[in-house]
Amino acid sequence: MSRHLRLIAVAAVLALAATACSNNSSSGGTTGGTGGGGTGTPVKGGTLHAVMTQDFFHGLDPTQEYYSVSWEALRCCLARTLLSYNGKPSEEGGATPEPDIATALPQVSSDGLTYTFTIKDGVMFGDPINRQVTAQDFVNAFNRLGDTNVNSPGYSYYYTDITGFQDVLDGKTKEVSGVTAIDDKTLQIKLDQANPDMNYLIAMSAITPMPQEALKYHYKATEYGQFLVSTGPYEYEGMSGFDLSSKKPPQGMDIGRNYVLVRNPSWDASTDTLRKAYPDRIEIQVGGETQTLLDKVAAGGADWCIDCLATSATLQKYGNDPTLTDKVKIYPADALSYIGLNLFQPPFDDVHVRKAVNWAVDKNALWTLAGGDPAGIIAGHFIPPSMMGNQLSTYDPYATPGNKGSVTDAKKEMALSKYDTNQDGVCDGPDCTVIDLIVTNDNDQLKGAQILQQSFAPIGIKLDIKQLAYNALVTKCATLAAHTAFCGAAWGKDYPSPYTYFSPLLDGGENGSNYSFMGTTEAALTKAGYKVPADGIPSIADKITECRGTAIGTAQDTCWANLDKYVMETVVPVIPRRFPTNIDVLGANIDNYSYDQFAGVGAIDQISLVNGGK
Amino acid sequence: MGRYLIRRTLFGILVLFVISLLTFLIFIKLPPGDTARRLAGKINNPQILGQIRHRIGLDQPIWVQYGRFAKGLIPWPGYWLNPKVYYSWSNNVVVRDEIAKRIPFTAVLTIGSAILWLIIGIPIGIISATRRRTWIDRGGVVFALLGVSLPIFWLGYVLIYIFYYRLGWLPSNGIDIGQTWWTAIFHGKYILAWVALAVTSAAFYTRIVRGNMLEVLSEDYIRTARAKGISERRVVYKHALRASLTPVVTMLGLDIAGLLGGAVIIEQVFQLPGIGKYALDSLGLSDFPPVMGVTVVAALFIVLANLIVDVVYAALDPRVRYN
Repeated sequence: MSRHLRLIAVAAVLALAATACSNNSSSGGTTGGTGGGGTGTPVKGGTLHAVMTQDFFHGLDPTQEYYSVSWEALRCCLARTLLSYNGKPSEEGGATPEPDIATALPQVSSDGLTYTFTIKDGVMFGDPINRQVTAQDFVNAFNRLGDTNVNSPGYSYYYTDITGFQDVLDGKTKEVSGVTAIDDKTLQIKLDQANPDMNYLIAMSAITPMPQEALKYHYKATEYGQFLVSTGPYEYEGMSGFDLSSKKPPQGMDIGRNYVLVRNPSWDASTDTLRKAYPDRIEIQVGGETQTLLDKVAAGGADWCIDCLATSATLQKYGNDPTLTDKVKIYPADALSYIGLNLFQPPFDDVHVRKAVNWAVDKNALWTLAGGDPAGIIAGHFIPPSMMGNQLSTYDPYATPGNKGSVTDAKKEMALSKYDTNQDGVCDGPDCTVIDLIVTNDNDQLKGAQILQQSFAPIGIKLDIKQLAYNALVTKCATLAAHTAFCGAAWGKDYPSPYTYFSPLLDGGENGSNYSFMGTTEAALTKAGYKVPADGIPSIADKITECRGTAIGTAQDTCWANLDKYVMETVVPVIPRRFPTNIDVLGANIDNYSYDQFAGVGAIDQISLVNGGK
Repeated sequence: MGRYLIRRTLFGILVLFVISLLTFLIFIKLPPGDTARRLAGKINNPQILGQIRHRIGLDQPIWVQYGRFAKGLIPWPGYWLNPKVYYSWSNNVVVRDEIAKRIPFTAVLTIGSAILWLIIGIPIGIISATRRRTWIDRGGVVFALLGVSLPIFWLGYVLIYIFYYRLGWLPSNGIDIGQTWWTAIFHGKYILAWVALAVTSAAFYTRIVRGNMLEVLSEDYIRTARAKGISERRVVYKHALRASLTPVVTMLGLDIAGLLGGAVIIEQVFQLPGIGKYALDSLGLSDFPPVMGVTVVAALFIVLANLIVDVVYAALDPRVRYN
C-alpha cells in the first residue's frame, strides 16, 4: 500500500504554474533529457545531499521493500541483481532489463521452463566480505523471499511459477527446490509453467545476492537491510572493517533518520555498464514536510528531495525564473488514478450504468483539481500508454468535448439500464444512491467527490460522500462483503509490464487491490451476500494468460492494448481519471539528472554535481 | 512518608495500566480497518493476512493481545518494554532501543526550553505585578496573550522562515548527518525550537507569576513587612516571590514531564528525532507497538513528576502534609 501514497500525493499538487510546464501536456508531461541544467560532461565527485519526506519502509531490506524510492536506492547503489535497469527513461531503454551481475540475458530452454544464468567474474561483495558473488548467494535470496516470516510485505506471489516456491510459502520446506547453484558461476531456475516475465522478476531488488556471512547474524525481516553487504557502487559508511556479528548497524545506516553511502571499494566499474555512480558520497536525510524540503532545496540547504512531488508554490517559483526552468523534470510515472466500480453491487452490476458514469464524469475538472498539466494527462483507458510502447495514446471510448463529460451520451446509456425503469436517462430507485468513500479531512478528495457528485446528478446517480480513516477506507474498498460500490484509487507498476496492472487490479477477486472484484468465484459472491450474475462472473484471466504468452515487444504491447480496449468497452470496471507524472525539482548544485523509469523516481547514481562538487 | 510513597507508587502503576489499556483499545481495537491489510502491502489474500495476524499476535483473543503488551509495563528487567512484543511492526526495530536513542533529543529540547521560559516568564511576571498598570505591565500582558494565542506550529514555521530562509542566521530544521543530540546543541539546531516552545510556555508562567504575586503582595504579612520598614526589594524578592513560586514548581514539574513524553508538534516542525516524532511517525504507519511504548513512557514521566512535585511541594510549603 505504501507505493500508493506517493501517487496519491500527486493529487495534492494544486493550481500549478502553467509557465513551468505548459508545453508538456500532450506528450504525457515529459520534459528535459537527462541534463540537469549543467553545461558540461558529468563529472565524478562531491557529496550529494539528498532529503526525503519519509523513510524507506523496511530498512532497505531487499526482500521486503515495496516502495519506489527504496527500489531506486537498492538498484542504483547497494543491491545489484542478475538483470537490472540503466536508470533512464523508457525511450532510452530504462524499462528493459539488461544483464548486470549476469554475463548475458539468461539461456532459456525451448519449453521456457529452465533459465540459466552465468555470473560475471569480478562482481564482488563490498566491505566487510569483499568476495566474489556466487550462485549460492542468489539461492539464499530466493529462499528468503519464500519465507513468510520475512517476506511480508513484499511481492513473493509473483514467483510462484518457480518449482517449489509455493512449498516454501506454505511452510513445507525452507529451500526452493527449483533454484539451484550448479556451480559458483551458474544459477539454474526451473519453472512449473512458463513465465514470460521472468526477466522482470529476476531484476527485482529481492533477487539480489545475499551472503550467508551476513544472513547468519541478520536474517530477520528488516534487520538484514540494516547490515546489507553491498554489491553496488556504494556501501553504508562504516562497513569497512565492520563486524557483521554486531547488533548495531554501521554508522551510515541510521534507520528513520539518515543514510550515508560511500564508495564501495570492491565495486569494479568494468563489470557494471548500467550505473554511473557520479557522486563520491551520498547523504540522505529523512523527515520533513514536502514544502519545507523543497524550500530547503531552493535555498541550497539540500541538492534534491528524492520523494517530493513539486508543489504549486515551488513550480511557480521555478517557472517564473528562466534560470530555473530546466531544473524541473517531469516524466510519466507509469501510474493510473482511477475509480474502481464493484461489478456486483447495484447499480454498477449493470454495465450500462458503468458506461453511463464514464460518459458523465467531468475529467477535465478532476484533472484541473489535481494541478493540470504537471499532474499528468487525462486518462481515457486503463494502462498508461508509456507501458505499451505508447499504443492507445489517443484512445478514449468515452471521449467528450473538452473531457468535460456528456450528459446526452450518459443519458442514452443509462436509458438502456435496468435501473432506469422509465428509460428517461435517469437512474430510478434507492439503488441509485451510491456511497463514495473518501479519506477524512482530505480536502482535495472532498472536492473531487463533489465534482463527481455534480457529474452524476443529471443521470440520477446520487453520490453520498462519507469520510473515513485511510486504513478503514482501504479495508472497505478491498472487501467483497463490505458491499462498497465505488472507490477512488491510484496504482503504480511493479515492473514494466501491464500484467502488473491487469492481474492485481482486475483479476482473482478479492486480493486487496481489486476493487471491481472481477474474477471472483461464485462461492465468494454467495458468501458475501451477492447474487451470482445470470450471465456469469466477468473474468479476463484467459486473456491475461494469452497476452503473457505473446513475445515481449510490440506484439505483446498490442495484445495488452487490445485487452485494455476490451476492458474499457465490454466490462468497464473502472473510470480512468489520470495518468500521473513524476515531478522532480533540482537544486542549483545538480548538473546531470536522469529519470529511472523502472523505479519511477530520479536515478540517484546518475546525478552529478556541478564541477564534481568542487 | 514511606507509606505515602508506596501508596503513590502503586497508584502510579495502576494509572500506567489504565492508560495502556485505553491506548490499546483506541489504537488497536476501535479504529475500523485491518492492521494486517495495512502491513501486507499492495496485494494480499486471506493466507497472507492470516500469516501477518499470526506473526503479530492479532489472531489471539483480545485479552491475550492486551496481556502481551501489559506484561511489558512491569518495571522489571526482562519485562519492561519486552523486545519480543515491543518492536516496530514496520521496520522491526526494538522500541526500547529506539526510545533510548531518541530521548536525549527530547530531553535537550525540554530542558533548554524550560530554562528559557523560566528566564523569560518569571521576571516578566514579577515586573508586571510590581509595576501594575504601567506600560511594562501592559506589555507583559500583551506578551502573555500573544504567547498563549499563537499556535506553536505556526510560530515554529515563521521562525524557520525568518531566521533560516530570510536572514540565514540560524541553521535549517532537522539534525544534520553526523550530528548527535549533543553536538547539535553547538550547531544551533535547537535554538528556534527552544524559542518557539519557550514563548508559548513563558506566557503561561508570566500570567501565573503575575497573578500570584498580586495576590501575595496584598496579603497582611506583606503589609506588615512593609510597615516594619523593610525595603521594597526585600519585600518582593524575599517574602512575596517564594510564596508566589510555589505553584510554579507544580506547573514546571508537570510541563517538563509532559514534554519529556513527547513534544510532538515542535519535534515534527523542527524535525527533531525525539520520542514525540517517533510516536507520530509510527501512527502514520499504523505501527502500534512504538505508539504504545511512547505513551506509557510519557505516562511514566507524568506519574513520576506528580510524585516528585508533591514531595517538593511539601518541602516548600510546610502547611502541606503527607496524608
